[in-house]
Amino acid sequence: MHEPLIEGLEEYLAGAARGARLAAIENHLAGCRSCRLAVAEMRAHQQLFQQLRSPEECCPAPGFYARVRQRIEARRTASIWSIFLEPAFSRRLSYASLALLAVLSAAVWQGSAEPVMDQGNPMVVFALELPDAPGLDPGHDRAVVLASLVAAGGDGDEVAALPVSSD
Amino acid sequence: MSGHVGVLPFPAGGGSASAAQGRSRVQNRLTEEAALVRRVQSGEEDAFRSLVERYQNKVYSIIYGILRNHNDAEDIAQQVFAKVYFSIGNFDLRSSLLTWIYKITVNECYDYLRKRRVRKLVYESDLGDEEGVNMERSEPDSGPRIDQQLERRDLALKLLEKVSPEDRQLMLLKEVEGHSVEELARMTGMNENTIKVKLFRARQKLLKAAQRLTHGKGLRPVTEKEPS
Repeated sequence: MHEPLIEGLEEYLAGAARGARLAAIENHLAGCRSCRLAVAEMRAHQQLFQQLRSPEECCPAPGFYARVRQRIEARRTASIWSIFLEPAFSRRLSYASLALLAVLSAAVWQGSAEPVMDQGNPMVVFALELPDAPGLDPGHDRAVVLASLVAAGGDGDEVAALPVSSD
Repeated sequence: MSGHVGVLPFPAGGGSASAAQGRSRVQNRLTEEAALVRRVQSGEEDAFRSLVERYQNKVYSIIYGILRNHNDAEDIAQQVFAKVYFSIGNFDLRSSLLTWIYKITVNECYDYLRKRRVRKLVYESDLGDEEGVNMERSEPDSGPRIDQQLERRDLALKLLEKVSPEDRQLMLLKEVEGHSVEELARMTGMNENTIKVKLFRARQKLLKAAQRLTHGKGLRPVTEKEPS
């Protein structure tokens, strides 16, 4: 659809376009087949939507307000579990559950990744007191690694099994 | 906007004096409406009763216009006012109260239609009770006319289902309720250009939807062939 029509489409469809605007639209429609078809289709839609207009003055049966109140009371006293059937609430609940699950999984994963250091174990105290292994002295570095492994493992059995060179 | 049943009561625009008068009436109405909303929000039972009594015919007519069944209209109208009761705390008066209620009403109608479709009722039982009775009582000559009307109404509903709830509401307010762009702007709290753009986009979407629904034939009377 082209410019002159876009500008004044609503007025034109409502039959309210006047003067220069109306002339511009009609000129354009006379020469533009695709706009002419689009406008004809839009007019058909307008007529179609008239079908949804109430054909008569309608009003509910007497006592409508009382029935509305009854419905409100019924909704108010509905079971607490019925809120789970509300689509919006159940969607939010699912998102919240997923978020909680993600947080818990992250916490569990992080907890299992860090070794538990038993402060009562002398090897742990020894490992904690050792300076970092900067990689300059292989002997010192080995001592740091071994002490850390023992501290993380709890007892010294695993250390004995490690292939450590004797130099 | 006048001349048919069920048009929302809004002052018509006109010359500058009548426009000013109209604006002042709108202002008064809005102030009155705002006061009513505040009273309902504060839990005043009488205010809610006033609200229901003020809008019940309008809501009922809108629903009946869409569904053409008095039982359904009654049931959904009750549902609409129950929703109004429970959600009025969230209503911030940015649009008019009637626009807000209209939105709830149309959404409830479409929810109902969707559920009815899910239940996979056959087409005949999909028709309103009154329509069924009309069809039975109708003269043989009027049969096809009623059938055609039902078909067109069904098509109108399907078409509107293809656009967003906001576009649907605007189209209904414009084409079914007969409001002008100026009135829509006042009712929704948007400016006129925004309304025009939204209506234009909605119409474009409807054109595409109609092409899909009618397998490319469209709905316009066939006077000239579509360009290839």
